[in-house]
Amino acid sequence: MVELICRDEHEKLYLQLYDILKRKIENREWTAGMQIPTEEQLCKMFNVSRATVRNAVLELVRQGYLVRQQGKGTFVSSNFISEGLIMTTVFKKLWVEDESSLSKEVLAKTVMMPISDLSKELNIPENRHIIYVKVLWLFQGEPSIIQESFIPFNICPQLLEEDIENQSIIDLFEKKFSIKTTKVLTYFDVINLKKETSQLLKVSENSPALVMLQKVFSGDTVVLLSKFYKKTDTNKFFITFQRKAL
Amino acid sequence: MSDGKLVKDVMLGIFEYPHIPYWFSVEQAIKVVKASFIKTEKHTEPLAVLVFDEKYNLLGTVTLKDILRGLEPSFLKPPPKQVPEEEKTGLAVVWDSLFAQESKKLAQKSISEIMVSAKYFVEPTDPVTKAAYFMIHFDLPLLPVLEEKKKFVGIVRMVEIFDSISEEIIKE
Repeated sequence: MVELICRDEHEKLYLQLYDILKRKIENREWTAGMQIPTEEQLCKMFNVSRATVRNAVLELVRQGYLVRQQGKGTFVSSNFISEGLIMTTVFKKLWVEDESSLSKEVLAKTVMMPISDLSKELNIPENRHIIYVKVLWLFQGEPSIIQESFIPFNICPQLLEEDIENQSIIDLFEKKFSIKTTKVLTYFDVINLKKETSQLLKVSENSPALVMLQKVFSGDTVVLLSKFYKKTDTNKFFITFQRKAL
Repeated sequence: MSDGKLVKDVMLGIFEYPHIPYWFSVEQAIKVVKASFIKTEKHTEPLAVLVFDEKYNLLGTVTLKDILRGLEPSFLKPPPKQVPEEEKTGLAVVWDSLFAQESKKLAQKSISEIMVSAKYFVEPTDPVTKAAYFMIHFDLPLLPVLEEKKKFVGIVRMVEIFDSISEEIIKE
């Protein structure tokens, strides 16, 4: 059955077509690996312009539903996972509800070797140098979060010379060193704070804290590993997800 | 020296050596030594670890000898002025007691307690003879090279100093 585009709706035509084609994939009417109709055929099927078809297909490619193969056509992606909603978020330097009342104090920027699990986490040999950065985040002037960051030295040796007091490492990667972030894995856990961290956060030893570990990738390479230790206060960790505005 | 060789001609890059911050424990330093030198085929003699502060300033160096010395309580005591002859021969019975239980506790202390502070430096433009003088006079396994007394840029080793100076001496 061919769903029809409603021209009375205010929604753009290509967004309507995007939804229709997406449903075909999610309902398995179009199965993994299958070649979809050509642009011309889709134009006739839905009585829309080529530009409308092109935009809708392009968005489906961008979202991972379809793959284009040069000279062969467009196919339904075989590794597309349809469970869950596809939503987007804005990556922030710090995932908290209120960023405006935060200030930053760099406690350390030095070089070390990857001990404990660090070499495994960063996927580098144990004898490779890493840049270590430790930051104290203050919320309304009070210690709130400790951030420890580990960067394989060979990824960005110049980082040692950079002012990280006023810029985030990811901003420097993106804007100055052309290191593009392609994926971020985020893990949450709860721990009891050790003496040194609890002193910095001005809480008693063994106080519970939320730990967020972020592994930042550029392609297959881990370019940054950050651990955030957050004590309980009124500024919560906060992430917004929303359907991508097309 | 007539050939005028300078420190910058013979120094090694600092990344030839592992780096650790001063708050690492001796145990963590041992793990770094094992991972950087013992498990790998390629390593740079003398085996030493560079210790830095939180602003990446060099604080000192730690050699394997410094670590072992720091792990044995009897080495931490000031040495007796003269070891009596009977103690020298009697030492054999105490070998088993060296590096025993107490060493495990000592391994938890900070590396800054056992490192050798970096007190002597040379500049890249200094002659190698100056580096030789410091290393011999103060019995240093390696010597840091600082640019304008601030930026740590290299390491000087005895092997290159020896090579450079001896070359000149045996030249006919």
